[in-house]
Amino acid sequence: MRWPGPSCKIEELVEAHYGTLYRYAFRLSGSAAEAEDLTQDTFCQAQSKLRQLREPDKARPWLFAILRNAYLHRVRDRKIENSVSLDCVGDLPDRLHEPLPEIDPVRLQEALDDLPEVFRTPVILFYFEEFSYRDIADQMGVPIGTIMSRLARAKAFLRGRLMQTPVLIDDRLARRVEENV
Amino acid sequence: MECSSARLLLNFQRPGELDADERQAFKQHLDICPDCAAQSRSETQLDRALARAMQAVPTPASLRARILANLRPRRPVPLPWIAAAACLLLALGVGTFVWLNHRPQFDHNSFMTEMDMKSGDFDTVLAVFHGEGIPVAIPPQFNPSYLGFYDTQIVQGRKVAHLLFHFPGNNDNRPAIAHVFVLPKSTFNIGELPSQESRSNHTFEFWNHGNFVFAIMHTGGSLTPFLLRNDL
Repeated sequence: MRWPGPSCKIEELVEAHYGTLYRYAFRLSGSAAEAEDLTQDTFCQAQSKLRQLREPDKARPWLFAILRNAYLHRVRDRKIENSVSLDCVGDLPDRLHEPLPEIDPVRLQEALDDLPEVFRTPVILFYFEEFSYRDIADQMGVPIGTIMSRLARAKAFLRGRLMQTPVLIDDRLARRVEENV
Repeated sequence: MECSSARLLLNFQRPGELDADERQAFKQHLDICPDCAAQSRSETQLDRALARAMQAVPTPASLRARILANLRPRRPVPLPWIAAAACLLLALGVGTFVWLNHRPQFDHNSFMTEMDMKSGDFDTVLAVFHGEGIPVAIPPQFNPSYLGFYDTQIVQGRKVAHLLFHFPGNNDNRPAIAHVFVLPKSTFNIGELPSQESRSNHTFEFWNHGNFVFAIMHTGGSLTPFLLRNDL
C-alpha cells in the first residue's frame, strides 16, 4: 500500500509554490479574488493529477501551466477579455530618459489587463518568475521566435503605458490581434 | 556588430538568453558605442523596474491555510498493479497451503505391498491370475527360470496379466528383459499385427497363441536367450 504520486506530496507543493502562484494568478487576472480562486483550483487539480508529475524538479512550470489553463478556461467561458492592439507598437525600444521612475504596481496591473493574454502571459513569466524564452515557449506551446516577438512588443507596450509614451488603444484592432494570434 | 543588430539584442540581455559569441559581440559593441550603451542601461533599468513592480503583489495571510483546507483528505489508494500482485500472492499462498495440507500421506507399507514383485513358477502364475479372474496364458516357449515377477497392467483401459522375464546374460548374450502382456482376444478386437518391429533400444513382437495374443516388448535384440533350448 502506498500513497498516490511520485515522490512529492501536495502539501509540500503548496508550501513551496502557493505565494508565487497567487502572484502569477493576480497578474494574469488582475483581481485578488480571482487570483485566490485560481490558486485554489490549481492545487486541487494538481492533487488529482499528482501522479503525472514524474520529475519533482519540474513542479513549478507544471503548476504554472495548470494555473494558466484554468485561467484560459474561465476567460473562454466568459468570452470577455479587454485588450488593446499592439499593431502600432514596435519591437525596437525607444530611448528612455534616465533615471527611470519607479513603476506603480497598480498602473502596471492596469497595463497588463489591457494586454491580450498571449502577450500578457509571456511578459509576466519573463519578469515575474524569470522564465527563459525557451521555458515560456514550452509553457505556452508556441515557437521560441513567437515568444521573442511577443515579449518585445509587450515590453514596448508597457514602456509606452508606464513611461507616458502614448500608445494607440483601439478595441477593433485588439479583437483582430486576438483572432490572429 | 552594427547598431541595428545591437538594438535587436537589447531585449535579450538576461544571462542565458544569448549564446557566448552573441554576448561577446554585443558587449564589444556597447564598449565602443555610447548610444547603444545608454540604451542598454535604460533597458536594464526598465527590466528591473518592471520586475520589482510585477512582484509587488501582497499575498493574503491566510491563503496557505485555505488552500490546504480545500484539498481533499488523502486516502491510501492501492495502485492497480499492487492490488493485482497482492491477489496473486494471496492466491499462491492459499494454493500452497491447500496443496501442502492435502497431499496424501506416503504409506511405505502399502507401497511395498502394492509393488511387491510376485514370483513363482508358471503353475503358480496361472493359479493366481485365475484366482483373480484375469484371463491368462503363458507362452510355453519361455524358460520359466527367467520369470522375474508377474502382476497386472492396464492396457488401453483393460486390466491384463503382465509377466516380466529377466535374462541375466551369458558368454554369448548380454543381460536383457522381456515384458509379456497377455491380451485375451475376448477382451480386445485384434486385427492384423506385425510379427516384429524394432525401435531404438527395444523390440516389439506379437505372438498369436489360441485365444490370446502375447504382446512382447524386450531388449537385447532377440528373444532367443529367453526361450527353452528345446524350442530353438
